[in-house]
Amino acid sequence: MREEATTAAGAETADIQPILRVEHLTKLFPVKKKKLIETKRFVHAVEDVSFDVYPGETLGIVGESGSGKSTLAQTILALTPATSGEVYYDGKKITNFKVGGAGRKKLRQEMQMIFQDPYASLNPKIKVGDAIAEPMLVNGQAKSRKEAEEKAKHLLETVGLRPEVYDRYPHEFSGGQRQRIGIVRSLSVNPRLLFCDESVSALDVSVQAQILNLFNDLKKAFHLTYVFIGHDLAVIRYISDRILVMYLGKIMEIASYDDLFGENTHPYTQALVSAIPEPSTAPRTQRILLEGDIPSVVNPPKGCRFCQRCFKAQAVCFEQEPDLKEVGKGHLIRCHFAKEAE
Amino acid sequence: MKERKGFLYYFVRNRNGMIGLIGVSIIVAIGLIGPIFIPKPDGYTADILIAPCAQHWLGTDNLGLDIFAELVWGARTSLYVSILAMLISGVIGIPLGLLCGYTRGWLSEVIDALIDIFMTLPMLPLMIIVAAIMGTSITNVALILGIFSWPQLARVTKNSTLKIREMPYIEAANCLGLSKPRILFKHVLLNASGPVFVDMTLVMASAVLTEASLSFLGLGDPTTWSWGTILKRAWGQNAVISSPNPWWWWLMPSLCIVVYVVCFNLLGTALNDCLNPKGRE
Amino acid sequence: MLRYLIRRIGRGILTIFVSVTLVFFIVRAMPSNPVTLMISPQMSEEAQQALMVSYGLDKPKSVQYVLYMKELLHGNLGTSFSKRIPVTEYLAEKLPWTLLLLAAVMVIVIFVGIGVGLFAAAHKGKLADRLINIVVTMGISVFIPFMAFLLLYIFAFKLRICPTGGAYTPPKGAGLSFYLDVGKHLILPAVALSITNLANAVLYTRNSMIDVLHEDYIRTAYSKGCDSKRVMKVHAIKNALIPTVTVIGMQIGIMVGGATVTETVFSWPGIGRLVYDSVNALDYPVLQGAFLVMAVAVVIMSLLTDLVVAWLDPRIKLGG
Repeated sequence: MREEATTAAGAETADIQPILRVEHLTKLFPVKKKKLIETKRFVHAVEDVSFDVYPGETLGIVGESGSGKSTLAQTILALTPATSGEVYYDGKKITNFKVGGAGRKKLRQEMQMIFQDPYASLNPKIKVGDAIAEPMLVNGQAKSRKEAEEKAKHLLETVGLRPEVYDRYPHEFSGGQRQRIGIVRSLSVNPRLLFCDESVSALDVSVQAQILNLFNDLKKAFHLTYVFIGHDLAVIRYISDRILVMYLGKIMEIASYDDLFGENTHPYTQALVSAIPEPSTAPRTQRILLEGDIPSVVNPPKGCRFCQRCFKAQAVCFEQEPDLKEVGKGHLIRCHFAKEAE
Repeated sequence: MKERKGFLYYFVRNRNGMIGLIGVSIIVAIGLIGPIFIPKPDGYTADILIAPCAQHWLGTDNLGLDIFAELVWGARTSLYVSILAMLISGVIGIPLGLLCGYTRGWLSEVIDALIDIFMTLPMLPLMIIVAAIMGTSITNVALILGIFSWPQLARVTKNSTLKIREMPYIEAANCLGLSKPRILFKHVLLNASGPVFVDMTLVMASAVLTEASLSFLGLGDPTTWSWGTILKRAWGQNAVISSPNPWWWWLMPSLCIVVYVVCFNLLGTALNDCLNPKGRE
Repeated sequence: MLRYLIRRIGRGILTIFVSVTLVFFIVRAMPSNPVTLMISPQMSEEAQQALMVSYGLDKPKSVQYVLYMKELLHGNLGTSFSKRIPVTEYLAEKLPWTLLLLAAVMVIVIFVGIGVGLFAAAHKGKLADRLINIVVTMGISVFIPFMAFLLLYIFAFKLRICPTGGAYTPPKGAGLSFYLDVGKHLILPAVALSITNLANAVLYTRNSMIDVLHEDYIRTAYSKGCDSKRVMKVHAIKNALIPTVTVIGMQIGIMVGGATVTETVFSWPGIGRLVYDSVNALDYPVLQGAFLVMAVAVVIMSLLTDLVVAWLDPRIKLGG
């Protein structure tokens, strides 16, 4: 894991093309009007988000619920239309998957998503085998049902399930097993880029670790790139090379693993880091407690998005929104008080 | 994981459901097998208005025809009409319901308005007019019933689809590049099938009622026996209020209709209870 | 609220428009020509043609439609082919009888249906409740002519306490004796017609009352020692009646035209019977007028239903 962080960081300097580039992506949801005459209002779910994902790395996206991280993934995968901004995959523009028929089909195979709730993400009326075989047959990874079955059973074994699972219904399995089935279903169409949306949050802690290890193993075996989305930095840091911190639909910080746990970080990140339970008997340095809840995304604060809950907030924070500043190589922070690179 | 008891486990323990199933099976058996052994009542005989006896189990009518034979042939008509009507309303109602529930935008709005308007149209009078236009054949009656009973089915399908649409497994299916028709007709419909199935049994029940009403009003098929036709003839001869009263003539077909409808309704309710985990106590 | 009303009324007008348009073209799809029913073979070609022209049937259907809609906006429904009187007059003659029948049905359904439903809910699982359940299951499935036959057989034929049909004993009288006579004629059709709705009212009231009594707010009120049980009951009943009102409201609206069979059996001179007669007489203007009345009735009833439900259920705000 850790050693790969250097390769990813090194990748930025070399002329390696990002596998995914997101530019100024914005997603607004209209708010239902309550009165006859009313100005149209929007929920700013994702606002002006830009970042790159490099082949072979794991990008973690962390934020509280309501920070727009799931919407971000859905918008990139064209499961919901983007309001503005662009998405590039392998250098080609793929916003809303508005590409020719064959290209779209290819995208649907190469970019996959692992869902949060393993109980709801498998169709209860469809047998495990059919759920895995169907996309292979539709997308051409298997020519016949027999071939699909062989491949599916092989994949099931790869993730540590018995091939007999093939003929069962989802309700016969536990959460961890279901999540493995969901992973197999996504792997069946040979993806390159895998979005994991809170993929372990619904599982027991012991199972979480197993699934996270499985993700790491699969990454090597199938040469995958991950975008790993979660609310728990303790989980995200375990798997990620670089981490993107989101708050109220905006990026607060992008940093490599080492930078994120360094000195110069965003106050919100510091709060998140300080909240990670440490297995140590030494006295805790200082835990930063965030007050209040995440504010409404319909009327975001005028200045910095985080100003109302920030322990460093000054008058300027309430007036003027800070820009995303580069404070180090590949390290960006949206804070007035971040120490800029010289 | 706790072993979940299957649908059958609950169904065989549902008394009303079993009564309904047995009743429906008997009606189906009579409707399918009866006409093979019992010749179609036709013409007239001298045994006019005989009360139930050993030779004529359920008596005879004013043409001396055996009521039991008429009822057996009527059962076949009822089955034919209700199955055809159910299929037609399914073919129209289910896809429209799926589309209305799954899509967002103008198509969904249009179908929704259509369902709303059709649900509020006075159906029986409309069917009377259309039946008068299309002419009296049993297939036409079934067609009319099917065409006019789809909105109910579409609404049930729509309501289930609205809930299923939001499920992550549908998002997953989209993500895996499955086509819209495949998602709708396989992934959504499989999960909506419970309420849809229940509603289809109810459509069968109401189809028989409406067919009987149309036949009773003289808009049925004069060449086929149907329970409504028997009633119409009995009514035409003032059978209910004439003296001595040939009660078997009007009572028996009425009872057949009631039993048929009760059995299908019982079956539908039991299916609903067994498919819906809340009703499994 | 205003927004809601505008939308509701818009939907209602659309329903009426669709209904009227649909019927206009459906009746004109009939294979036989209404004029052929009115003319005698001796009539000359010219006379036949003149008759067609006088009814406006010589023009193309689209022109007929535009003319009809124009007249409709002025409140003119045309002239009956068979009776040669204005359709409005003809309908005005039939409508009171239909409304009378519906009013009787509503009284039966509301008082008997809700009463029995509440009684069954209070005695849930006991013998009385089970018997009521069986009767209700039968009632929902009953074929209305069968109900009508049974009533006629028992009360008109065996006991001879009710007339066999019609709305009054001719000639049409006046005063108290006339009203009593109408009342006597009204009982059987009203009972026959209300059976299905009665069963539905009982079923929905019983089931939702049982559900409501298990709701948290009722339990909370009980556990708080809310002693005014009467107020409690009023609250519970108000909530329990919502499904009943929704179902019954729609059904009553539809029954304006849906009572065809009952009105035929009892020779009741209402709108339902009128439709049946007009189909046989190919009386286009009367059919169109009758459907207009039915559509208006359904729209008004569903609006009324919504208002009553909103009044019963404070959670529903008619603005959303």
